[in-house]
Amino acid sequence: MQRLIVKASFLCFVITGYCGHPLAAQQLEAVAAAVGGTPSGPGIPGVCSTYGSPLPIGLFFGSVLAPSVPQGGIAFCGYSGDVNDQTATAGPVSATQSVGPVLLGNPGFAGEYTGSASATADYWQLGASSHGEVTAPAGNPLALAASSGAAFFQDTFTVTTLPPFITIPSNGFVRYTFDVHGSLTARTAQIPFDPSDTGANLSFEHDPGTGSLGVFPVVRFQAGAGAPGFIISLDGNTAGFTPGPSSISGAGTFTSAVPLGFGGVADFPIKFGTPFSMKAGLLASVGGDGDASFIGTATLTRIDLFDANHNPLTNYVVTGASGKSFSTLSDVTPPTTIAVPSPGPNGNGWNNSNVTVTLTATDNAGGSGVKQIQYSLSGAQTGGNTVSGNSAAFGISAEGVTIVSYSARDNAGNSEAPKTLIVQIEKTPPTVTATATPAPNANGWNNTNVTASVTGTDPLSGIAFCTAPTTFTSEGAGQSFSGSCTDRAGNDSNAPTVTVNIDKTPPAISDFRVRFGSQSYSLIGSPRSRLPWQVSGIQVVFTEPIMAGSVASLGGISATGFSGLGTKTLTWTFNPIALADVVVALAGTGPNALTDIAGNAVGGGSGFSQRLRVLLGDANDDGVVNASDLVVVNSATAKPYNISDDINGDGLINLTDVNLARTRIGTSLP
Amino acid sequence: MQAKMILPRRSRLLAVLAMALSAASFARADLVISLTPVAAAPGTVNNAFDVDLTNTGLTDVTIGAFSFGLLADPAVTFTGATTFTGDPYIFAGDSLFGPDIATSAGATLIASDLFDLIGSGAVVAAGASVGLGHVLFDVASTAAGGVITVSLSPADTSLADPTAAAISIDRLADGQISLPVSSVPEPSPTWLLALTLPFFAAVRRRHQRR
Repeated sequence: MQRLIVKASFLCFVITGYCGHPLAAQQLEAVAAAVGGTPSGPGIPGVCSTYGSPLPIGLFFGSVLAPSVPQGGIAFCGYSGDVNDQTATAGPVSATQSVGPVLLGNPGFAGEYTGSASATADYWQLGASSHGEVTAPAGNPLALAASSGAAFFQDTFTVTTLPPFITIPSNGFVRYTFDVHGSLTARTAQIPFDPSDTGANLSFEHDPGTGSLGVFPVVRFQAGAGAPGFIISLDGNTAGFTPGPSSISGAGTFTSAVPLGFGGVADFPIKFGTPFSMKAGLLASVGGDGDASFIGTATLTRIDLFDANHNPLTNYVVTGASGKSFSTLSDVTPPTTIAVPSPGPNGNGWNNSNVTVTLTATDNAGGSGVKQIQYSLSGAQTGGNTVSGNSAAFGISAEGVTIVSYSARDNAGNSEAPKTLIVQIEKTPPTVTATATPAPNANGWNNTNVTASVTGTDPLSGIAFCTAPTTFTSEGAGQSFSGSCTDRAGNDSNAPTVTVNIDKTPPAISDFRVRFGSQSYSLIGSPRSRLPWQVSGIQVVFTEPIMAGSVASLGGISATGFSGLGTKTLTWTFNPIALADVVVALAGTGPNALTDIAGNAVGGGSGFSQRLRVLLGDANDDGVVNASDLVVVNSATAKPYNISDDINGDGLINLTDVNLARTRIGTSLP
Repeated sequence: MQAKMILPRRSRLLAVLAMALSAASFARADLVISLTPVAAAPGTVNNAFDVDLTNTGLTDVTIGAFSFGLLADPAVTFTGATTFTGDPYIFAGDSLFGPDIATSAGATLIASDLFDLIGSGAVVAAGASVGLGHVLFDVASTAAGGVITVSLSPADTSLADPTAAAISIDRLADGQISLPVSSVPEPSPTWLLALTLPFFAAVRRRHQRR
């Protein structure tokens, strides 16, 4: 077996002659070139008539199918278009370029060219495509119409797990396997120096750690206008691709194994214990009118290792500096997925905004790696997806309870038992009402302590807490209470402000007057025991407005009139009384109770009573009307006004009053 | 303070002195209000009697106002009271309400009057008698014969001095209205005296013998 191994230096020399330099660390590169037009620069015809790809791209793929850029440069030759070259160490990286329409000769005598190219490079996966259209034959024999896309990845591998019988250091071999699919289509050849060729090339460069062994074409595809497409591969395999007239398309697997004439194969040397590197490039090129479509289709799927005797190894792991890895370990352990909602739920398990759930799956150490994550949503929000790779993220915006079921599967086919994550979202604030207990009367007042509180309803997450009740004990108007409730999701709602008016003080009597004639007389503090007038009404002044009362609120006398409700002064009128000894009462209870705006009754419910001893003509207040009263009243006619002597209450004291007293001679109170 | 002397006539100085003394000794005055007896016949109108005030005390009394009330048998209807009294009217020349001083009439009568000068009154000298009112009345034709008592109502009868202080009345002497009755023989007083004198003479002689 060992004899079958071809020395690396021989390969380098025979196939490319491009070897010896060390491959750098991991890198990605995407190149897109689209060039067209009629040459007009100083390089014509020597330099501009020969075109190709700039180094090192041209060297990597060879000069024939490399991106078509005039050797003298685009501007130097007067062509249109450009080359877009992008590099990065983290993928993916992509590049696009287009040109045209540009004339391919003199106006009116030549067609136009429109071309475009794109390339995408990521670790272990490459893609390239190009497209060209020519509307009519070129009028200038030096006309150029070429578009090419090229993508590269370069990675350094370390064998992290090896079978125990492999000693380090020891020699070994490596074989790279790629999956490729794509198509080529060439249309009419209309340019003298461009036969409307289309081509694709997947090549790789291997460095066992001691320097590059050169670039090797894994597989090449080509299709020319008017000719059948063809395929040629390093390992001799062409399965999966079907050539057609001016085209070829399909999908296949190609390796880096080099067949030897005597039935053996040669693989590329490595040394266990020493990292080795590989650079792969994919080219898709169109000259003239055609399509080359190999976007995202060249994937490194396997890295097979062999011992020094070229015996295939198992149970090893190759890990790239890029983070990619390949394992042959027997993997029976499913990956583990964790779901992280962001933002996380509050202490009650609820969110009040949209939630992004990130699923991250991790395979067991030495496992085959996570292949995909699948998840499904049920409940408030439905849906689901299967996402390649070890992470997935999605948003949940529906209010309610959404159940997320998720699991991951590794490359060995091990599926994780589904897990669930419950996401509870409510964005709607609770409905909050504020109440005052006891409720105010019709005037909006209370006459006792008032407890204001808020209550809330929240049908989805429920109420977490509300502002604590407040008890108002102080008297006053316009005392306010503001409260709110918060649901379990953290949504707040403020209740309408409750205004509390409290008056606990019963109305008191500040003046109690009897009315007679046009006059009135206050009994508050009066030294008189008897009233010498014909009393026709009672007027009471309270300390605050009386809001409830009636003509029947006055007891002891049958009142016939009542006025002043809503003010501090109430007046009852009745048929004039000349002789009486009665106790009049202001109702403090019952339907006729006199109450203030808050419902406080006069006297705190006990009302108010006043004895009235009416003895018309008893000016001297001795309980009997006699000659003395006549002298008193008559004498008062010559003195300053004294209401006690104004017997008829007309505001004057004169003989009319004396005469009125005379008519009452002999009357008395018991 | 002004005063008007009724009887007897004194000097002005004495009048002032007397009024001062009387003011200080109202309680010691003895005042009697009485009615003059009168005879009337059933079915007659405008009969009259006087209501008099007599100061039986030792000091003068100053009266600022008075009132009196009368009650009588239903056969009597009081029709009014005037200041035209037989004795000098108490406020003669200074009556505030005269000559008609009644304020109610009918089965009862109430009359009153004031001295017309504020702060003054009429001085009723000790031993003097003045008229308070000349009461007019009618007698029903159905009135039975005999004596009808006319009472002075205590509640309606009062006196006040010029300062409005009440003056106590010692006695209200009811009056009588005599109505004629059918003729019945009765012994005359002379005959009664003639019959009793021999009895008293015999008793006197028996004491002298002892």
